[in-house]
Amino acid sequence: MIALMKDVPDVEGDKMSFIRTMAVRLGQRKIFSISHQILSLLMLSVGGSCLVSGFFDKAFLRCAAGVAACWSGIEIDKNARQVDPGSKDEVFSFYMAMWKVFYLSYVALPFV
Amino acid sequence: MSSIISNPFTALVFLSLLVATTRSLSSVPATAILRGQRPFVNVKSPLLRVPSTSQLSATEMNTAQENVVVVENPSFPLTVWRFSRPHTLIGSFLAIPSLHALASPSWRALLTKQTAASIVFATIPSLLINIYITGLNQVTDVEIDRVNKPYLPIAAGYLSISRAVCIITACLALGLSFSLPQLWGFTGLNSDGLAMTLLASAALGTAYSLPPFRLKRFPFMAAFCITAVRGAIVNVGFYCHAMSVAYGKKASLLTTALTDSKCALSSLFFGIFGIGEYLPPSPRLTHFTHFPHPPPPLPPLYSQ
Repeated sequence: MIALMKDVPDVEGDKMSFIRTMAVRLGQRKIFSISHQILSLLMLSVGGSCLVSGFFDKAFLRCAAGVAACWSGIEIDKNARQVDPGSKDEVFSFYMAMWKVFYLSYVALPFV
Repeated sequence: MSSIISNPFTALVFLSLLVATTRSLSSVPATAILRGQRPFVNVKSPLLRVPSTSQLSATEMNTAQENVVVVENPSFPLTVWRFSRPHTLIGSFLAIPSLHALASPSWRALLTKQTAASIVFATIPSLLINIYITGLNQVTDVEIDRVNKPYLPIAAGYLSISRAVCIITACLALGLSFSLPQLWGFTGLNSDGLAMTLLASAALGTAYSLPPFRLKRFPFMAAFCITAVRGAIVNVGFYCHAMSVAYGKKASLLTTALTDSKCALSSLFFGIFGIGEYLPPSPRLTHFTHFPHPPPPLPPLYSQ
């Protein structure tokens, strides 16, 4: 999904050299909103299923990881609403923030 | 583990690699690396050019001199560090211990020397292959990076293309050498999972950037490469590596991927996450023959 987002800030140079990325074809706004919605939906659904299964298995750590995933899903959605898809800097810093979510998911993985 | 002690030369190589990495890390603030910023100032920037003294009054001259920044090229290790796209390296670096912990039957089994050796033996080649893939992507897209990512070492002129090719070739050769059993004298630390991960990700990374495939031309193929490597290949490969090397279980790649629910779910999750990953946010070429600069807009004074 960030495979889509990584092209959003680069539309300028891609158009200049006739490169048909998804962001050039469909527009930055559309690709940005699709990709951030996929990501927050993913975090919410994973968090929800961890919470439910952790509750029934009485696995405390899994519940905690589920809460963290849900919370990051909500945060991603909240932050993405404030990002202007046309601004190269804002999209790039959002993209790097998603990398931090990626690292944190690997940190949380053993506890699930 | 005894093989590490019995082979002091390779242990020395690993140690020096570790020291070099930490040293180049400490010279730049970590936050700046994560944001992809260059702490150095580009000398060509018109804002930093010092005006000739005849044009300035005394006070203006003082402020101009205060603003002069001494610029030097970044050191070679620092250049290589930026060339490797650190944010992608960190992802690979975290994935391996995390997957070892996921595969471990208990927390106690995680804290053995065998597990530590297995993690180190998998981390080194995977970082090397990561540098190879990101480096190849930069070498094949220099012209476009000059527009989209002018802070990258090749685009900024800190690193020559021939030197970059040397680096990525060395990384590929060294990285793939870990997939051959017995080359390093660590027969106990080799596994099919590690070999598959290294070979498959190097192959996909090559097909992504180099002709005749050059999959980054096609948005869907590019997304497929990223998803396949980040999701299936890395997760299944290192999970199986951990199972067979660290915990001494027989784990074949296909059956583990299909029957082990932890392994399958983590592949699915990171596949969907499918981050642009070690593919730096860099574009793809289609009909690229020359770089068509649009004519510069006329300055407003002369436009009428």
